[in-house]
Amino acid sequence: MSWTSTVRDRSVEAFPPDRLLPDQQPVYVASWIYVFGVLTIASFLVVLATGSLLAIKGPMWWHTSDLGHYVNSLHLWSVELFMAFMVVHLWAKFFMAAWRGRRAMTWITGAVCFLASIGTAFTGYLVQQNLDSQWISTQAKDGLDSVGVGAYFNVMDFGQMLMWHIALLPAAIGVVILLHVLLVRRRGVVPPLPARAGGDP
Amino acid sequence: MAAVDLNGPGNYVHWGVVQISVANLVVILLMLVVFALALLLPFPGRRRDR
Repeated sequence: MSWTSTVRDRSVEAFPPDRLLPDQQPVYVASWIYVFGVLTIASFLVVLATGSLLAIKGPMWWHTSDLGHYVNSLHLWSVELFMAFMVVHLWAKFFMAAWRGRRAMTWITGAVCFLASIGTAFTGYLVQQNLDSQWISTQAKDGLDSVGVGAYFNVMDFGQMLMWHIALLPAAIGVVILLHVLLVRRRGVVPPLPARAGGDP
Repeated sequence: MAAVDLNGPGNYVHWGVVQISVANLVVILLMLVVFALALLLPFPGRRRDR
């Protein structure tokens, strides 16, 4: 048996088509509190699209032209929504103990996505090329040096921070989001907590 | 003319050891409001006869 057929068989076994792309969800999913995951992903797509435009056109464009300012602002505000939706999603999943029912890895990938997003937002602030980024980088430098990582993660190195911001961290977040969604498909959306101990949900 | 004048020092709330900018506080409060509304508002199309 070749490795390709092994991967294919295991993939189909783990993700049958009707589970991978379902057209129905349990009745408890019909609540606004369940929409914040997909709102986070929608915001992430806008972040990626506006960030790609900024990368293509370059700093002279986003600093000097009206359209550049506009796309730069779209990038900021889509990030604001991305982080806000993700945190509301986190609150909702925390209070419904969403790691129940063999969903620990779903919870963990969400937590990793949150931490990676903080790193991406931080490096984004560092590459604004304004007084804010000077202030934040010089303050962060002392903190990071004091814990011994300054030699490897130098917040005063614009090129290094730009690469973390536009290549490594977004790629990591994209992969983690994909894993997270696949795990939600595999285990299903977590049901609400029972109304009382031992009762039906 | 901007809705909020940003050409000056930021406004901060001081509460014991807690110090937070008014902007961040407003964002957090808005998120709490959105969280509460998501729990309370009826979802369109949801059947009540289950």
